[in-house]
Amino acid sequence: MNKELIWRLRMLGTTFSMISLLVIGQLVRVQFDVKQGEKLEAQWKLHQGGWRTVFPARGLILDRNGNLLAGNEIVYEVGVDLVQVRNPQTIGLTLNVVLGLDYVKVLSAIEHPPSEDTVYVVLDDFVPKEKIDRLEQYKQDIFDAYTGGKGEPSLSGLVFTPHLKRIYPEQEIASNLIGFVGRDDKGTSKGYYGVEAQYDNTLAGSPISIWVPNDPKLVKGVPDIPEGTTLILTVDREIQASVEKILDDAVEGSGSESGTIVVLDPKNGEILALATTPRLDLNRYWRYGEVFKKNTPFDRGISQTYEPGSVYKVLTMAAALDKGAVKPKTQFLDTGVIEVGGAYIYNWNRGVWGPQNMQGCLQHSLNVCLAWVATQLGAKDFYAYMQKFSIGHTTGVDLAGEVPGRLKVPGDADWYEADLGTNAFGQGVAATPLQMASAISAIANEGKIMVPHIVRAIVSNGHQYETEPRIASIPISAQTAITLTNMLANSLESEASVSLVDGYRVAGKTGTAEIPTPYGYTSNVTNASFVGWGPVDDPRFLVYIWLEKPQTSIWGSEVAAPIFPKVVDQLVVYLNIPPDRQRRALLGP
Amino acid sequence: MDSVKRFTQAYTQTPWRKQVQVGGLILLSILFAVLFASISLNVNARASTYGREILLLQEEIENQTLINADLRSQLGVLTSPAVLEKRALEMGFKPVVRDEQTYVVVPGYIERYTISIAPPPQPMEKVILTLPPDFTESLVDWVRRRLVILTNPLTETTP
Repeated sequence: MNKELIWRLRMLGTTFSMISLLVIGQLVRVQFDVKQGEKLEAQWKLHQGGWRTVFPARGLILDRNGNLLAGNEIVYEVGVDLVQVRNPQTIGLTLNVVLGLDYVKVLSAIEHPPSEDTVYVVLDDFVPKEKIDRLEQYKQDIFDAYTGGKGEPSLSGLVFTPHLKRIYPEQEIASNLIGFVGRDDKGTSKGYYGVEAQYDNTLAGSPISIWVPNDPKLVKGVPDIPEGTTLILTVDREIQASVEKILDDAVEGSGSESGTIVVLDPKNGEILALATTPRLDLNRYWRYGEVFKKNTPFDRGISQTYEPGSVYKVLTMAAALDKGAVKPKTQFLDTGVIEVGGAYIYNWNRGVWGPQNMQGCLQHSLNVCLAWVATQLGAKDFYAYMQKFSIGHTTGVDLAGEVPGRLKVPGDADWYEADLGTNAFGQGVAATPLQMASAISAIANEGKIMVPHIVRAIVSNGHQYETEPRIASIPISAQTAITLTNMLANSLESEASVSLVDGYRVAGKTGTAEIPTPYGYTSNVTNASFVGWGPVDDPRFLVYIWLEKPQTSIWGSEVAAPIFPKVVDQLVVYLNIPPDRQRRALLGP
Repeated sequence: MDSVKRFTQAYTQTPWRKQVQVGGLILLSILFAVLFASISLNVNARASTYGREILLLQEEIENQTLINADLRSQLGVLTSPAVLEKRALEMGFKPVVRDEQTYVVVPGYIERYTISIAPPPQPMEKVILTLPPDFTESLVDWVRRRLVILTNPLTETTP
């Protein structure tokens, strides 16, 4: 070999060695320079593929018979792939015509060329399928009619991405119980109010991020993404719709500001219906501000407290009977006034009712008598019983937005001895309709209060899990409950109340409560209530009615009580409850 | 040593043999390279095709999921109380009222308590881990099993 060849080979060897050293040096540098390493790794990943988050379909909400109360429907996101855009003017014009988007705004959004940061622009969302079909048709027509040359009309780049949106087939029915799905500040779907908020995470399911590689060889199977959990409610759609209609008629007929009806199964705490006003078409939830003006709660049944008035006497009497402070035949001489803690208490008509037994006290709804009963019981026991009835506490219902109400007790800074007398007939106590219904359900259920609940079963991962009824408390004995139920049933029958139902023996109590003002009980507006349950020997339902500020009459016995038989007429049909005589005959001796 | 000498001499006298040998080796290498390249290309092409099919099927599953959810909701709309009541009235039905109901005892009738749209959870089953026979059977067992399969293809092959 000549010298020149050897020199050339050495040069070549040196060059390759230096390149190798440089490569090795770079490798070492990248290994030790963490930031540079991360940057390079990010670049590598960017070219390898992308992460895509798959959101499972939100779980359904069904009524107790499997009817759909909340489901999902397909809507589309309309966007533009800037790389594919050939004629922005055509896109702007078409979207202006079909979707009503502003031509100039669309043009300014898509006219600029794609950049590293922006290759895709979202122009509209939640577009219904019919409009997308029209856009698809235009796109196809233009594609067929033109060759795609420069300056020719083109909808190239227009992209439609389907996704699901919440839909409520029943619109307003049970809207206060269901709630709705809206968007939070970050634009993410979120449940608001009712079941949608309470079970938001359960319904939404768990989104999964999957890696989608650009190299199809690296594609792997996507794991099954389970749908969100489906909820089966205790509510019966038909009962709910009927009760809402009855309530609307009652509110309109009485000129009330609002109304609420709670229907419970006292034996297991299931909410069969909870109707209240106003209601919202959940498919148009953005009208929330128009429907719920000022501080109007979404669901008055659980979120608005009020002074219940005379329906509360049921609890006072239950406590006194259970403690043995009075008996049904205990005599009381009503003089028309009683002084408790320095305050004078009068009857609703300021009348003197003379000698009365305890049934008479309830039948005539005598404030003086019930205040006396509370004093016989004593403050300590009276409030201990009220707390066992869960007054002043949330009921634990599985609905978002429940408030606890207020029960002042001895020891509180604002409690006075006079409160014992007024609390006895439901004044100075704040409770929600559901709290009252739940507390009084103890009398209809042999002394036991079941935790009121709205979800009857959940369906998750292909299995259905039933909700077990739970006892919230047992404030009174079964014997007390039966005794009081009979006293109240006799009361209704003795006065031939408008709340009686042909063929069914029911128990109940009316309530009329003055509404306090900053100057005391000086207004001439009231809260009218009624609570009733039946059949007395085997209670299947408890109905609690509240009308706020009725105009046609201030008395619960005149505006609230007549609603009860209307509700029961529907309940016995939907719940298949035969009249008492037939039921006993069917059951046999 | 003689044979090596003879071999070297033969190549010295006929150099074309060496060229043929080198040429043959090169051609063989090219043949192997082409063979490997074509196999690799084939495997890669098939993997890419299947990968693409997986992507398309995933997309199809997602679309079908959306459509199913949409159809279920459409069904809900069509069976809402307002729609059903309207249809029932059009068909000449009227709402049942309390006094028109008659109750009779139906022997064996059990009142439906809760709508069931999925089976209840099963109690936990004891899982018995078993190794496949490939890891446990002897060569003789394996031959016997294969023979059984060959003679009677319908026989269960795994325990």
